[in-house]
Amino acid sequence: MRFQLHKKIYHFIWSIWKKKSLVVNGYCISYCELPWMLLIGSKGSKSWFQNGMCITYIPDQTIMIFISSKENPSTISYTIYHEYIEGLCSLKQREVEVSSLFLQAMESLKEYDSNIGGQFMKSVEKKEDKTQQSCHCIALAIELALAKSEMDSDKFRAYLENALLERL
Amino acid sequence: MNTKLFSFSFEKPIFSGFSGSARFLAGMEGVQDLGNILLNSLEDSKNVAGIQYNPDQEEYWNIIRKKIKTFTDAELYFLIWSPKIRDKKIRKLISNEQSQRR
Repeated sequence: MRFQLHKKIYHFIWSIWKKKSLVVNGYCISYCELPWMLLIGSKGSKSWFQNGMCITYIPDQTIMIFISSKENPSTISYTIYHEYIEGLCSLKQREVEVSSLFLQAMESLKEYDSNIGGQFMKSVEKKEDKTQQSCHCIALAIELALAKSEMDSDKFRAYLENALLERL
Repeated sequence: MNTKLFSFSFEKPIFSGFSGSARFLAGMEGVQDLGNILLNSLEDSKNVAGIQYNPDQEEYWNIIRKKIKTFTDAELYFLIWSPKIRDKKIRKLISNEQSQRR
């Protein structure tokens, strides 16, 4: 009931709020930037980040991404890309695309960390909601592969280490 | 047809289709070999066939019947994600389907 109410509220906000968009890795992704206070306490798909918060809703096959205005501007494209990919996991018609991206990403990331698949597996095993955690790992792998292609080696290594330590 | 059944304790499948699940397993550690075998089954080989249990799919049992009919000499890899589905029940249903084809 509470979740349904939240869904309706966010659906309404999505329809009236001025949306922003970002092109990340060829995807044009729309999102709403909301005050942090409006996002807190919601029961959607929720992820915490170092400097803000992001929530995704996917009613009627529309991926609605809401992010906190406190989100770190230097990593905002990765945050949004991650949430978008996580949303795509739930869309049947995009499954082949997402799973192919995941497989390519894992191949690419093994250059830096040969045990990355093992770390993902461990994180899935210890979570109660294994399906949700798997979607998170899929999105994280694809996000990290994009970061690898855009960042210099040292910066990416720090980004990767932080992601594996703080976000699994 | 030799049936190999793999079950996972997930709430629901990550991907509703078999091919997405195969790619997911191939990318993870520990289940990578299984994932690669399942990925091969996506090619036109007649030696391996794969399917995953998806109760939401209306045509589900028709797909199973078609696989059993088409891939008579193949190994059938069967993925079950939900812990609510009991292996024995699925094995019995597949066995019944196979015996009807003989």
